[in-house]
Amino acid sequence: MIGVFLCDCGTNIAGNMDMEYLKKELAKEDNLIVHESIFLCSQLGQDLIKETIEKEKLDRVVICSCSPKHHGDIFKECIGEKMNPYLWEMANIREQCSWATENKEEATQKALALIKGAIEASRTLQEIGQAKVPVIKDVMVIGGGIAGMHAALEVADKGFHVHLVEQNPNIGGNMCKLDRTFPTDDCSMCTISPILNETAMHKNIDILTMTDVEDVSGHPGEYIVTVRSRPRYVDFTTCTGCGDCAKTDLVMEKPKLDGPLWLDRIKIHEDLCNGCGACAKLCAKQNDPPALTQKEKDAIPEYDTHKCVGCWVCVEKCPKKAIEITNVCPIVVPSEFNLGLGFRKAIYVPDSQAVPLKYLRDPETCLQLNGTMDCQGCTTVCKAKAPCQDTEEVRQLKVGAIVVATGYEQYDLSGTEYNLEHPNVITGLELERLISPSGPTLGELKRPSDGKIPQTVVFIQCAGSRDRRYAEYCSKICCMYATKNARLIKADHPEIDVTICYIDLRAAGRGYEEYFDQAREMGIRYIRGNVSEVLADGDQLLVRTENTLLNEPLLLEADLVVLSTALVPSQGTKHLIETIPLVPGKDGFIAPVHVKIAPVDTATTGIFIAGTAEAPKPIQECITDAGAVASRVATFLKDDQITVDLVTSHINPDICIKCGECNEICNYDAIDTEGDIYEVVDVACHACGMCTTVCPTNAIELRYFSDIQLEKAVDGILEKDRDSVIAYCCSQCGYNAADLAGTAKMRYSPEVKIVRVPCSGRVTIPQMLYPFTKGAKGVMIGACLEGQCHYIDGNIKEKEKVALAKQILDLMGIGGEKLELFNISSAEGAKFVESAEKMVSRC
Amino acid sequence: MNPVEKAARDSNVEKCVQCGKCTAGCPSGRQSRLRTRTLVQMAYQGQDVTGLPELWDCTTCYNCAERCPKGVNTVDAIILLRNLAVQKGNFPRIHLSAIENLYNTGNGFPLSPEVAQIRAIIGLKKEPYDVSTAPEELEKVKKILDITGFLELVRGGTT
Repeated sequence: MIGVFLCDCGTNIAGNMDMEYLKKELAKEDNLIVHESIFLCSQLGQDLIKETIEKEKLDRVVICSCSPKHHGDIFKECIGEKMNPYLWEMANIREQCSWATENKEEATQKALALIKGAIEASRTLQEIGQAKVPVIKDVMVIGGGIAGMHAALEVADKGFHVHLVEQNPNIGGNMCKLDRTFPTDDCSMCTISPILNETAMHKNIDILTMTDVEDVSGHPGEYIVTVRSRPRYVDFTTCTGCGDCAKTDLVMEKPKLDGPLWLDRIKIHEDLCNGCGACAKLCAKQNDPPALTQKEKDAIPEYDTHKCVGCWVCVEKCPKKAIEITNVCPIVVPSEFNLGLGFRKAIYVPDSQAVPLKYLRDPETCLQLNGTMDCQGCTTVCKAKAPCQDTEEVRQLKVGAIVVATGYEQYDLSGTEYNLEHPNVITGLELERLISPSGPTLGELKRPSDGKIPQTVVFIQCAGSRDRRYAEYCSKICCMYATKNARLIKADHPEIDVTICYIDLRAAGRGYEEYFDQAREMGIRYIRGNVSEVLADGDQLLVRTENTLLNEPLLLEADLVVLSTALVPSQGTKHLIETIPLVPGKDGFIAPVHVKIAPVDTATTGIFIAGTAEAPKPIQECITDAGAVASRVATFLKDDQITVDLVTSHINPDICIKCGECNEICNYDAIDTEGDIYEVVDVACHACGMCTTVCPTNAIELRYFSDIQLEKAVDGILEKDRDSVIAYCCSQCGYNAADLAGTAKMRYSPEVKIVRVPCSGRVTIPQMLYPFTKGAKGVMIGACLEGQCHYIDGNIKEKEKVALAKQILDLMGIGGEKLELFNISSAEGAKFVESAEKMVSRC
Repeated sequence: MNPVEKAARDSNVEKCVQCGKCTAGCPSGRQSRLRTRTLVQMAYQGQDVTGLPELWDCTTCYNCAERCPKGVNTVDAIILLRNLAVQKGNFPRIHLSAIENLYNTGNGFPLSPEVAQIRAIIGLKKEPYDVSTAPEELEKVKKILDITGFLELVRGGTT
């Protein structure tokens, strides 16, 4: 027995249709009972529904009232008290009928067709159960920058165990490299240092440094992540971070090394040496060839560092204590942490304030590890005996949720008009190291070519950003960080002429405009003009720009040029996009599942994003992201099990041929193709239904919004009114736009009758053609705007199907113009009406 | 849409953010009145720029178009606008001699004694191989110019 409940909605519905006629017509149906209520959503109305279900032993319910988007949840809960909450349908006779139709008679007839559609569809409904998936309470955070650390801390504070995976030897990411931060000029290291230590000390966080993510399998709630940790060649537990091994006497005159160096390990103090030759003899006994040789008696021995293995016998045995260790490790290479400025040894920590402060050896340059010689330098000097042979370690970790915080890097502008090859053309991040007190110049602004203090500094904004050739988007933080660095230079050296060439100054944020005002007051010159090229005349640089406000081409002289380089996804971010199911945007960053309403959720359930892996953003927004992500993770993992309503797709293994088409189209990695049979991972499935459109054997089907359910809805409508245009509207946009049109009392032809689908991409070609076989005048599809599909790209895929179906309709002689897809956002009620009218006029 | 508007539209002037990269890198603009960015802005605002004399200062080196971050086809726009200018009779008379040369010798800038001397110094043939040294080819060039009414068009210029 089906119970049909008509709602008057006061006069909202009953005022524009003949309720008596509807009841009379519906009463002609077999096995059906009709009730009317003035307000069905009221307690009285709900009681009527519940009592009728019990009394009449209803097995299906049809609610004829407002939009399911309006009171759908109320009715679902009410009906769910008495029967399975999916055994009912809703006919939207308010927004999409009484409000959208001028003529009462027409509205009544349209309502009858919509109700009949809902009745027929309701007959096809099956009970829908729930699946419970066990949840692992551990979380993995990938990336130990400011966003990752903060997310890890927030999640750990909520009681979850966190594996924090970092590819570098230390945590802290790019923020560790900054001198100060806008708009407060706080010392970056002072801000981040407590966070670094708190992360390292937290009992719920274990940090995996030098570790890459290799693979992610499993499903939301139980991901299995394979991680590979590269060896440090220094024992992590015993190393005290004392730095004896990295001792050096190298003083750099300019910020940049010309190349790798092999320094002397020892210094012979000529004033103390008496030329006894003991050292040379000992050296010759120990080493072949010897590093110390005495050409003639009483002469000061000659030393060749390329032969010295660092046994230190000479230092220990010299009777005059004339030999001093200057470099335990003789190998010097440019420092990665300092972006190629400054130097490090083959045994090193990235930065003196690195967390964890544990040394590591670089197997490429370490003389012992790369096999150049049996070097014993650090192994002998280290009191803790920490340098060791070491191997990489591959582990599998089980986690319930994953946070991706893999960050950004600077666009490589080598080989462009910006002349980055010139040593005095540097990037913003390089400048941070040059003015940082812990940087290679200890905070002295020296230009790389010769170490002189520059007298003119030109900042070039949008270097690579907002540019179709490099990065099309605005990198968001550059206006502010260039202004910050310009201010810091000006504050230290008021005599330096500082110019910023910009296109548009974007200072939107708390305290930003004021910060910019102060910069102008400090005498920083802003020129509104993009830079065409950077030329060089020896160490001197020339910058071609235009003062666009004066219409004047300019040639600026500069001692130092700083490029505000575009921010692009880091290598780690790109690697992760290839490794785990993440969807990149057009800009290459990881796209959130919805840019507005789900900004830290990815398309894959249980995988979240924070920080600049998503887009360029300032530190405060990374922190906001991290907090949001921690909240989302906690919500996701709060119970021991995740409960999912099985409105998802399911595969009939008897007819599945395992072709993999469903897996190919699925944006959520929700098809498990590992086992003997293909299965839908219910907890990952978003129930968009796109998979059902590509299965060649119809083996995969949505449990709700099934093929038969949609077909019967169309049947019901057309049975009552063949002069109809069937409008398949997606639940996310097209349907909402139609509701909005009705709410605004925009009228459109009652011929247009809407059948709700989860996503436009769920509509198959047969479903497009089917209404024509039943006499429909036309078919339209209401989809989200391109690029705004709530299931990522259902509308784009649907567009291809519509093009094909149009050809079929042409061949059939019906005419392809009788089918059309319209991209309409939720807010575009008027566009829905316009599209509907266009369709009616065509059919 | 009138032809000037169409030329502007076809060249993507609506994408221009007035950054100034074009003017900044313009070798001609350093010596002349040409301000490419301003031309693009005027075209974007629907102004008819075909009467501006600086339209003829562009050497079509394509520095601006290649480096334009937004993909505005500045040089193509200038060439289109010049064609429209000629059709309207807005044509600097100073270019007429080059055009007469083109018609009479097949080369807008025929060999000058100075250039001939330089060619000799660097060991090139006295005369370059072009239409001016191939009379039968020159006749073909003239024929094309006659059929298209080229001379009438440019001689009608008033500027």
